[in-house]
Amino acid sequence: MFGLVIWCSGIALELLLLVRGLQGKLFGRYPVFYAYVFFVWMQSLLRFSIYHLRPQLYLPVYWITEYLAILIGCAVVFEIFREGLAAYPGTARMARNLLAFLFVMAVTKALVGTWNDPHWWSATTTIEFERALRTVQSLAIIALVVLFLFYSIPFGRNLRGILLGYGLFVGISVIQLTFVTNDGGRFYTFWTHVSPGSYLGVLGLWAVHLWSYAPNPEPRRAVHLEEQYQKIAAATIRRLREGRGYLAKVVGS
Amino acid sequence: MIGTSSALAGAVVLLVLILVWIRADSKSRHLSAVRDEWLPDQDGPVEKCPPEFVSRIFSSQDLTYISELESPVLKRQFLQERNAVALLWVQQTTAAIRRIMQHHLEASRQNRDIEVAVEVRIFLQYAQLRFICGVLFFLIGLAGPHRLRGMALRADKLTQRVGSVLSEFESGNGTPELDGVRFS
Repeated sequence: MFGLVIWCSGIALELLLLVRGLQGKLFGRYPVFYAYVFFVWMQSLLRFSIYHLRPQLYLPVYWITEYLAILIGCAVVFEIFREGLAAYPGTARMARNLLAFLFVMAVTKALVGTWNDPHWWSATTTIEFERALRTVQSLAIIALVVLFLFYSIPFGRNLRGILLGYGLFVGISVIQLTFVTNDGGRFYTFWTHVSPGSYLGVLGLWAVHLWSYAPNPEPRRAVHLEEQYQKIAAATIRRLREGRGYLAKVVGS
Repeated sequence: MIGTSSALAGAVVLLVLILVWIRADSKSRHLSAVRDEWLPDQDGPVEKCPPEFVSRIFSSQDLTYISELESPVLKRQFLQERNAVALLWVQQTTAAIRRIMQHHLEASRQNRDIEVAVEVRIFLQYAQLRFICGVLFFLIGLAGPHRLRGMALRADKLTQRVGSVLSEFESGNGTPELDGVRFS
């Protein structure tokens, strides 16, 4: 009964998000995110009906829609990156390099794994594969948040909500998938109740943050864009070196 | 595939980072007005005080003088004051270093010509300085500013000795890999 209530509440909240998105003209601002919410809503309806009408088909439908959701989720992360860093081409370039580095690392790890154990693919369960994908996704979000923090990128309410909600969702998913693969007994049972509840929390968070359109704040002060990067970097390096010299002179003299 | 512990660690880091981000974001919005006040001053030099003047905090001359007065109360008060002044100086220097970095980040985040290698180099330099300030803060709290100078001098002598031993070794073996390495 409790599970059914959560399921129906999730579908209702997803619908509310879509309706508010239409009313507030947020669809055009964040098309990928709303495509994701629309997909998740359709997925919930499909799973709900398949579960009650054709239970034997539930498992394949579940996994197909789950992997499609991960794929669209990656596009949501890309949208956060694109929208959040639109006014900051320098940070965007750093983010592209960092994400490319993470991607190469993940592919290399997978290749090394295949080289060491060519049969790992057949031995890996769908849950383990999803966990690996979600972990890579969470690493990408970590990298982005670190850059946002480091470069003090200001975020509007909408984009902050999308990143916050999706980051929480991915983090909780990884924890859940880890305990599912481990079959951790009592904690696993406890987690099966926490997880759907947390998803409702994420939907609530999105509903609050995306209730109406809130633009991203403009960069705080005008920077002399004509100033060459090399000049800026050289000045910073020189000043940091001076700082080090000053410290050494004070303590060592 | 990705191991259980690394997946869990990744998830926990993500959740913690999101919390940190929320805190930092709300804090930055609260402080934006305050920050704007010191923005015009942020191009100022790190050294607000001349090093000769600040180095007196770390010198043992004043402590020797106070010790000669043979007043334990005065000596305790003097040590407390000196500690507080030294810690404040480290905090001010840290803030100045942070301002330099903040100024750089604000300028470079909007610059299309940004170079990853240069940014990494600057970050490492900045991290090193922050680390030194952290160690200084810790050591001042632990041993006091006047002992810190002695420790710094001893460390300097030790690195010079290691440097000379290595340069002897280098000249004996003629290792070109060590060319350009400085020990100071």
